[in-house]
Formats: sequence, C-alpha cells, structure tokens
Amino acid sequence: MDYARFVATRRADWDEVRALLGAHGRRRAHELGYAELEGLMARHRALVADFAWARTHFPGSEAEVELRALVFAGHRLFTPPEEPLGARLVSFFRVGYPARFRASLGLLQVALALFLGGMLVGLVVTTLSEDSAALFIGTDGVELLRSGQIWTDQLEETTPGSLLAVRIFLNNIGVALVAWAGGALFGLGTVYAVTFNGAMVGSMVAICVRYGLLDRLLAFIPAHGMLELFLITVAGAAGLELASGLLRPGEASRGAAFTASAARSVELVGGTVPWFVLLGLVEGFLSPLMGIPTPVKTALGLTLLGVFLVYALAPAPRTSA
Amino acid sequence: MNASPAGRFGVALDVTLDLPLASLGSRALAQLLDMVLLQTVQIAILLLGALLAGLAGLAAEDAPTWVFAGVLILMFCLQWGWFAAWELAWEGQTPGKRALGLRVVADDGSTAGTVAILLRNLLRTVDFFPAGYLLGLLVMFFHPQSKRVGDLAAGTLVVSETRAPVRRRRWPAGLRAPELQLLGVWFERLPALSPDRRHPLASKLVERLRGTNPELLGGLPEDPVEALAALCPEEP
Repeated sequence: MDYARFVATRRADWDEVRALLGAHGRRRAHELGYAELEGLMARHRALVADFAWARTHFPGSEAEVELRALVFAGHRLFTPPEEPLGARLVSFFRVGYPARFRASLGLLQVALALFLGGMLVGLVVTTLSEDSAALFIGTDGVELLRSGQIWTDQLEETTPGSLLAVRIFLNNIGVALVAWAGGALFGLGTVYAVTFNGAMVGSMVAICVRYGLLDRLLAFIPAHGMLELFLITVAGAAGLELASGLLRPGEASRGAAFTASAARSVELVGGTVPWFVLLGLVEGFLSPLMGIPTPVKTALGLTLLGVFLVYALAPAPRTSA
Repeated sequence: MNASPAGRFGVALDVTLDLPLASLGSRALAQLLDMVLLQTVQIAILLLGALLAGLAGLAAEDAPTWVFAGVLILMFCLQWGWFAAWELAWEGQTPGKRALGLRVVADDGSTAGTVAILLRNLLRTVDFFPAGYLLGLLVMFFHPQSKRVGDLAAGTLVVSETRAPVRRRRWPAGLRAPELQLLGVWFERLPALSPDRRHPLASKLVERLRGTNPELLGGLPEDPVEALAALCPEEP
C-alpha cells in the first residue's frame, strides 16, 4: 500500500484511539467497564498492526513515530492494576512482614553474629588501647566520656523530648536503610555497617567501664536499646538478602536473582520503620528520665523486644478463604 | 532503522515495541533538574518552618520544637522519597524526566509497580557510592540497557518517549520508504536548521526526488525549501 493512502485511510482511527487514551488520562484500564475496555483493546490491537506495518514498510516516517508513541501509551494503560496502597500496607504488616521475617532467620543469625563479633572487637580493642575508641565513637565522644560525663546527663534539660525523639528515629531509619542498601555492593557495605555499629557499642561500653560510667549508660540504654540494636541487625539481614541474589543466584541468572532478592529484602527492612519510630519516642521521652529506675526500664525494653519477636515469629493468622 | 540501543517489549499480536533508551546525558540532566527543584523546595520548607516556629513561639513556649520536629520529618521524607513520590504519582516520571521526555518502565514496558519504584529510588545511596553517582554512572555505562544499580534491583528501564509530531502533513502518493524517511527527518529537523544550511540540503533532496518521483515535482516553487513544503503541506 502506498504511504499516502495508508495514512489517509488509517489516520482517523489513530485520532480516535488517541482521543480515547487521552480521555482515560490517568485512569487505569481497570476502572473502565468491560465493554469499554474490550473496545479499547480491539482498537489498540488495530493500532499495533498499523505500527508493525509502518515500521516494516515506512521506517522513520512520521506515521511510524506517531504510532510508536500511541502503542506505548496503550501498552502502559493495560498494565495490570495494583491493589490500593492502604489495603496492601495493612496486609503487609499483618501477614507479609512476619512471613518475610520468618523466612530470613538464617541470614538474621549471620547478621547477629556480625554485630556481636563487631561488639567484641570494639570491646577488646578499646580495653587494650583506650585511644582506639576514637576510631569508633569519635574524638569528641571520647573526650566527653574521659571528663567523667556522659552525653545522656544533660539530655533531659537540654533537648526537648519531641525534637530528640524525631532526630533519633530519623537517624536510626537512615542507618538501617544505608546498612540494607550496602548489600548491593556484594554485601560488603552491609557487613561493614553492621560490624561497625557493633564495634561502636562495644567500644562505648569499654570506655564507660574504664571511667566508671557504666551504671549511667545502663540507666539510659535498656528501655529502647535492645530492640533498636536488634532491628539494626534485621536491616543487616535485609542487606545480606539483597546481596544473596548477586552472590548465590542459584539456577536463575544473576540479574533475575538480584531483582527477586531485592524485592524480598526491601520488605524485610521496610517493616522495621514503624518500630524505629516507636523506639525513637521511647528514647526521646522516657530514656532520659533518670527518675525511672533501671529495672523498670529494663523490663520495658524486654517487653518491647518480646512484643516484636512474638509479632514477627507467631504463626500466620488463618486467612478466611 | 538505527542501531541505538532500545528497550524491546512484546505488545499485542506478537509485535515488539522498540523504544530508545534514555541516554546517560539526558538522565544526568533530568537528575540535575530534579535536584535543583528538590533543594528549592527544601529551602522553602526551612524558611516556612522558621517563620512558623517564630509564630508558634508567641503562642506557647515549647511549640517551636514541635515545628522543628515536623520540619525534620519532612526533610527526611523529601531526602529519601522525593523521586519515588513523583514517579509513583506520574507513572514513572519526575519533573526532570518529564521535561526531557524520559520515563521509568518495568522491564516489560508496563508501568513500574510501587515496590519497583521504591527499590530503584531507595538504592540511590548505592548508585551515589562513593561520591557523585560514580558507581551508578559506571554501571550504566557498561550495562547494555543503561541500568544503574537501582534499576537492576527493581527490574526497571528508563526509556525516551518518542513524541508525536506537533503538526501533521498531507503526503503525496507514490513515495517509497527511503524518500519518506528522508522527508520525515527533513521536516523534523527543519526548525533546528540554520537558514544557510536549509537551502543546500533541500536542493539535494529535490535532486533525489527528481530521480525517483519526477511526477511529483511539476508545478512546485523554484526554491527547494519552499518546494518541499509545498510537496507535503501541513494540515490545518
């Protein structure tokens, strides 16, 4: 067929489909009625046929360019719909997250081992050579502790709880996300982040022991610290999961395995976010209160950790189906 | 037609849709535009927050700290979620990508899902590693489909949307594919050609048509640029 005739006979159809696609605009195909959708799909198929014809016989022509854009717009319109975000979040936190957590226990053990190993290294190294603490907690932090003070001392007076809580949970979420994302560097970033966080804790404990500040550290940490550090290792496990597709692709191609492991891992780290917010509030409002006796804080901390573990490890609720 | 790398997606009827991949340069430029916009918004929020905190301070003594806390949360969400929020709202486009005609799609050309969009944007930290998007640029440079690490993880591509011509033309009968393509490119690039280059190119085209389709050239203006315009007049 001659190009002029092709364009002259078919162009009216293209205009109609363009108008239909434009009219649907940001509505997805699933919001259309059946008849409407069926009609649109038939028209789109005709458009695809015209596009194939134009590409073969008139490559580079105006019609080919125009049809390519229209075919693409139609193709995207027919993308299968996702459930509404709210419903997906509810089912994720009810069922999806615990299931993901239970499936990741092996990697969680590895992450815990890395964290505890780092802690041990920090503890031992700092006990042997006090100056090494600067590596882990910075010279300012060490100086403060050496002068017999601990940063938690003035916290209650200097920083309002609201600001403290927000700063803490944003910082922790950031640390968790970075520890997870580091998994994409074949796991190296994650291993570094988790081990280093462990070493920071170990080093801090060693310095506090040395300068007789341990009781004050223990008066601050236990309400929020246990679950918080545990969740950092969960983020580390997510980072190892992310890396697993790259390191152990199994029978899939490395690319496909990475895409699959990435989707699993983002669930594992994403589910920790609300818990970090909760812990930030505890750390900002309750932990600085030195009036609360340490055993009470410890009990609260254990309860928080227990609630998380029961939530994440309990058997999946039966679906009504 | 050309050998530039393309995303290939099966559409209906066993037809493969080929869309040009976004070039590294256009993606970097889109990124730059988005960053400028993001920082403008961040500065505006900081200024507004300061103003609001000042006003709140008049009402209650500890009110400003709540304003600051809110500003911190907002800044954090912008930092991690700016790109993802746009790409979710605009089906794979950010303001920068829209300006440059780029779009994020899933590997099969469909609209990228929520998890994929979140993944590719949360992993920007890795693409940024160790500084200035070095790793992301390197991976994109060597990947056959110009994917950065985030795209690899999410299973997404960035394609360049071809835009339909603004004005259509009425084409004469009897033209064959090579001449159609030449004329198509001619009209596409005409606005960008400097006047002194139009004339020699147009006379070459007319010369070629004289060989292939002499019947079309009768009664056309003498000037080759005008002759081509008269051959394929714009439709109203």
